[in-house]
Amino acid sequence: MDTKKILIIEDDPHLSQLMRGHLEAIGFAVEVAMDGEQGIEALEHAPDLILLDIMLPKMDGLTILKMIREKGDWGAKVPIIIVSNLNPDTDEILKSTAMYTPAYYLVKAELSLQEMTDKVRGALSLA
Amino acid sequence: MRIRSKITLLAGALVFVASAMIVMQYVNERQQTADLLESVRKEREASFSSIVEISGAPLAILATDYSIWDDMVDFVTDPDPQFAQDNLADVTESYNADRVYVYDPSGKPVYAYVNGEDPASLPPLPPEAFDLFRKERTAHFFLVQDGTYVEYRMGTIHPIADSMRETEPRGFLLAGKAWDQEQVARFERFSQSIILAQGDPIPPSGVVFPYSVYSWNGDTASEFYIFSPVPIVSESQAASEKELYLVIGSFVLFLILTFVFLEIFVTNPVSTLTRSIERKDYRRLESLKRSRSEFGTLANIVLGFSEHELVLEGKAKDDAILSAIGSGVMAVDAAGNVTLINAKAEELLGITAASVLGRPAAKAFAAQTHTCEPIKDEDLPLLRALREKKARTDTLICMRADGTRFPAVVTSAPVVLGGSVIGAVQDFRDITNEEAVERAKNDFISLVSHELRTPLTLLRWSVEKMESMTQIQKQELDLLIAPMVSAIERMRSLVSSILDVSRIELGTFAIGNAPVDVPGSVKRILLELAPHIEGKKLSVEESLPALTKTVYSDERLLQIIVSSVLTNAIRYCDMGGRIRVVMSEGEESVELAISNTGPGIPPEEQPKIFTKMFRASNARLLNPDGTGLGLYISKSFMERLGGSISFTSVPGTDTTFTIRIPYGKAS
Repeated sequence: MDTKKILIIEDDPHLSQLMRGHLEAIGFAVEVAMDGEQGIEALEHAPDLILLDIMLPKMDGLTILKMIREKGDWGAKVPIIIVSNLNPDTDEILKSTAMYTPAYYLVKAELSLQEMTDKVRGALSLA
Repeated sequence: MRIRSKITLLAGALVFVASAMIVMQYVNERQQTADLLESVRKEREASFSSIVEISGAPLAILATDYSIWDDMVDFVTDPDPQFAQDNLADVTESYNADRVYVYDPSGKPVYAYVNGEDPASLPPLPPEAFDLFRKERTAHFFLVQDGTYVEYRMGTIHPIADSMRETEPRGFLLAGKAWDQEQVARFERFSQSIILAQGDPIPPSGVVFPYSVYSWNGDTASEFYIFSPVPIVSESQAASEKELYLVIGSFVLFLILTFVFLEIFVTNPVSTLTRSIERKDYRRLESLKRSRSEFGTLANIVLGFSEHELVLEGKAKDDAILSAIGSGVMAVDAAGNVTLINAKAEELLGITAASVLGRPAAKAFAAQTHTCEPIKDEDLPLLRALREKKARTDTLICMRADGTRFPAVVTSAPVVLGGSVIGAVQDFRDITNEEAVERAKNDFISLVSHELRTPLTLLRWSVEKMESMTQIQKQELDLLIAPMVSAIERMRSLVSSILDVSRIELGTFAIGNAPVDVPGSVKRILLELAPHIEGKKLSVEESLPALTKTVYSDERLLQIIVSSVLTNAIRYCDMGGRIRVVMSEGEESVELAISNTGPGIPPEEQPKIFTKMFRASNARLLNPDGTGLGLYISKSFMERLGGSISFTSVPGTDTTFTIRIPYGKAS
């Protein structure tokens, strides 16, 4: 089986390190982008799944989401999990991401690494 | 009985009495005059009669003179013309006679002389006349001859020896005088009267009495009216009449004037006052009060006791209370028209009481729901309270007269008196501040909870990782500990910022006062931030000369401030840009200018840069996790230290923050 590639777009280095460490330990290939620009560049490597934070410097998450979805056929289909600290029930920005059909909304503060792994696996199997 | 009726009655009585007196007086005078005139008349009458008698006396003498009787006896039988001429014709004038007649004893005419006419016609006398003459011996009578009244005196002729006329008459002698114009004029002259025939008009101012002349048989030959003027009496009569009119006239005028005077100064004010009190016409009473007479005093007293005054007093007290109330108060009557509005309501709604009192509530109070939907007039709190008859509290958005709006809490309730709803009342207050405080509180809670999430996540994931490891290498441990340390530091910093903010708001933090090496501190901070500077490849220009004057301040606070501003400069500087730190000594303070290149602060957001939790839009983009507290804390701290922070930021050039640190004094 191919090693699946995961792209993490997250500005907090500690968080991204923890996530990367955990996912690599269970056999995924992980690339980390620190902001929107780096994220867009990393799309060239066609990851199998994207973990996206909405609150990013220089370019907001919504714009990045849109750009991913517009990256041709692959972009429209790639599973995206939004990992943020916003409340998906009330936050307007999160609600407006719905049109780009993210696979899941995860709230960092309520998330365990294990849960995150489960969701990643789930999204990949659905793709 | 009312005053006006009394006065009218009094006036009427006075008029009556006075008139009666005057009329009686007049009548009295008239009576006296009449009596006087009556006595004058009698006197004149008597006088006239005697004049006539005196005038007729010579006639009588001629007719009865017995000195020539013996010759007359002969004359009757043998009339001698010469004798007649000498004794009868020629003498007529001296006896005031103008005719003489002689008859024989049988009544046959013997001689006639009339004013020189010889012979003349004889007066028509029937035999009966002579029978009477024979019996009476003398007579005085009138006959009408040729339309003129003639006065006759008759005497029987006897011999001289029978001067007493005791024997049978030997003849009749008649002497007459016509009452012609001359004779009448003579009478009039002597009697100072005018002889009027029947039917003649009677002149004024005199007395009139009748005078009759009789024929030989006693029949009235004629009746004359003798008018005798009485000038003084008639004058006084006329004067009296004039006087009468004058007196009555003046009296009536006087009465009218008195009546009018009383009407104006007594009756009218009394009646006005009474009516005003009866009708509770307080406006009238107020205006009467100003009059300076007793009526003004009365009106004032009445007002003082009136419900009106008490109501006004009560109202004034209520008004004072209403004015003092800090919420807007409005009330309507059962029909929904505004009956009351206090000063606070006027102020809140931007209207005047005068413009809305008595008008429908919707004219004064317009509102929207909390979600900005308009509320129909009939659903306004006051009108709902009227309709539903129960109290309610709503949070609404109220509209001011100028179109601006404000959030308000409105409590409305029906007003019940004697079991029925007579109106409704509402009080409302502007909760803009409360809402702002609420919002700020919520924002703060959101900010804090948000800020805590990332550090918590870091800690949880680190611990989760550790839990899953059966054994751990030092290297791996260090890797795991780093995020935890970072998280802890972030939380500590957050808590510290919150504490600082609260200390600033409560004013409770203590400021130290000791000499501070400002340039040294700044250099140290630059060193601490070196990794960040290098990470963004920034160049740093510094000018931090030693100070000539000592600065006394709180070093810890200064460090926090400078560190915060410098961190911002680094954070918002463009990649590969330039930071400049320049310190200069002023008169009263040291100025530290920290500049960075980069996009700067958007001009429209510059005024809010120092407000708590404010983040400029581009700052959000560059550093989404910032708290917005940094500059607020720095500015507040700086002000507590007696200094200030200001900035300039023009897009395209540097952004410069200038910290002014006062020299202070040793404590």
